[in-house]
Amino acid sequence: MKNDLKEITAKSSASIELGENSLAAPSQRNLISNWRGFIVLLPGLCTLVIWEVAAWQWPGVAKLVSQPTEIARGIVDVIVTGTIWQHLDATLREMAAGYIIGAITGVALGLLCGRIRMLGDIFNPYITLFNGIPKVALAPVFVIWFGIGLMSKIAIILTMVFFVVFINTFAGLRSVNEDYVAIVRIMGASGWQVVRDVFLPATLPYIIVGLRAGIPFSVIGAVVGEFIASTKGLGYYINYNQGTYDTNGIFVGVTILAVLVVVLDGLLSLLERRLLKWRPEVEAKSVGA
Amino acid sequence: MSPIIDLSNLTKTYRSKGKTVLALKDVTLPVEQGSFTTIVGPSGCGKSTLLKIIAGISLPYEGRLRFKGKEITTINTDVGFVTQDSNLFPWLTLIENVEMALKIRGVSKQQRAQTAHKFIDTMQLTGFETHYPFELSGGMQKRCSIIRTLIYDPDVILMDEPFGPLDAQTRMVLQDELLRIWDTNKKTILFVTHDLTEAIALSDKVVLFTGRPGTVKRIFDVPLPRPRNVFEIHNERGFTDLYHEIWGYFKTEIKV
Repeated sequence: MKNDLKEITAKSSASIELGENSLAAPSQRNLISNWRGFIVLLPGLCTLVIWEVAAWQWPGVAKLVSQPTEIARGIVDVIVTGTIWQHLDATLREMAAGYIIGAITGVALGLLCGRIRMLGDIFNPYITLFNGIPKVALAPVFVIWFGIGLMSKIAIILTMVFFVVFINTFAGLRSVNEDYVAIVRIMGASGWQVVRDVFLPATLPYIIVGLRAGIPFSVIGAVVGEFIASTKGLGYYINYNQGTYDTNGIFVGVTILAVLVVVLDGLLSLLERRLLKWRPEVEAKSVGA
Repeated sequence: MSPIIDLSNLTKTYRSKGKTVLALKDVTLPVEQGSFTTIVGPSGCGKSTLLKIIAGISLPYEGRLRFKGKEITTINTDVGFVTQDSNLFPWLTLIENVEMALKIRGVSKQQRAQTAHKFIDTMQLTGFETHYPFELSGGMQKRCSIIRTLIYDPDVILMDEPFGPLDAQTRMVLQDELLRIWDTNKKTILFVTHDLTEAIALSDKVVLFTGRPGTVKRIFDVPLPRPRNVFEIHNERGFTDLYHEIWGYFKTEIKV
């Protein structure tokens, strides 16, 4: 009996997730889910409209913050003329290399320090110490060490991404339920099998949090590096437009960066949803409650 | 025949916050092959510690402990351990959880699936194979955690208050299912509980532990005939007398 009841509740929460006919207050829920996209967009649209009207009304405003239609025109322009590609290409290369190296070393060392207690005890204080240093402050040093090209940006991004991924991986490993480990050891698991069947899957949610947090860091790292010394890249592009007092150009660059972060984060959240489909959906939970 | 688990004068100490704590003291307990033995005792008496020692996950100990005639010096892979929480791996589906031990032991994918389906059938979990643990009720999770232990056919099954967190009805249903399974395969079961009724309903022998440091206070034989009806165990002739006899000793260990 009790199981049947549980099944029914499980099914009904599944249908809430799909936005189908759910048990409680269907009209209200449908209203929210149907208009959800619009409600979320509303504040953004209002801001754009006010911004546009204000810039159109007072030329001083446009000088300081440009205006949405102009920024849009600017974006179309740099795409059509192709001037943006070399900058986008440079920034993406820096980000890809720095992010991938930082993520891999962060996960690898996080796993090692999280699992080998002695290593963790020795290195964790240092990691905490270095994590306290604002990494952007190290950017000038990296430029001295690695020059104004690709390498110095990779170094900055790598450092920033490494710490956030390391710390999350480490925390994840330290929180693994020891009962899981005991259970698979009793089943006969070897050291490697414990890592493959328990530590990795149990830590995955934490690793993904670190990887998602690393995306904006990699953009910050690239832009800061390019601000300091570079000959191309979106940071260079923004900096160049600042030199010529072209506010619109700055906003074109900033908008492209924002879109970049949103797209990359979206890709990772797709990956997250695929890899973590075993977790109850937070959204379904809060709506169902 | 010598007992499958042979404990004599087993003592366990551990260090906590710089102090030495005596958890178990001179425990002497033979567990016969194929028997259903239940340990009852006040909370904190070291019942769970004893199971962990037998599983080889809480070493070292002093005294004598022979498992199938051998001393336990490392993880004991001849036992199955069912914990109080179901502890299913939340990232695996029901069938993947059930197959885990076979995967670890290198059984082929096809063979694994075949065996798993057989066990899933016996526990009436068919149709839920691809569900994740969060989508299952507490009772279903518990069933799954029992069959993922049975599937690799361990000699002894250690159960640490497995039905503790369940509601009364689900609990009786699972006790009944456990007895059915035990009747057919006659595995040795060492079962820890704090519920005296459960202990009598299930077992051949009830072992009463004292409070900390835990040791065997008395062992009671349960002469009730099998197969037993756990739902009506109170009406069984002899149940009440045995209950009162054990309770008479048990209550002196609990500070009411």
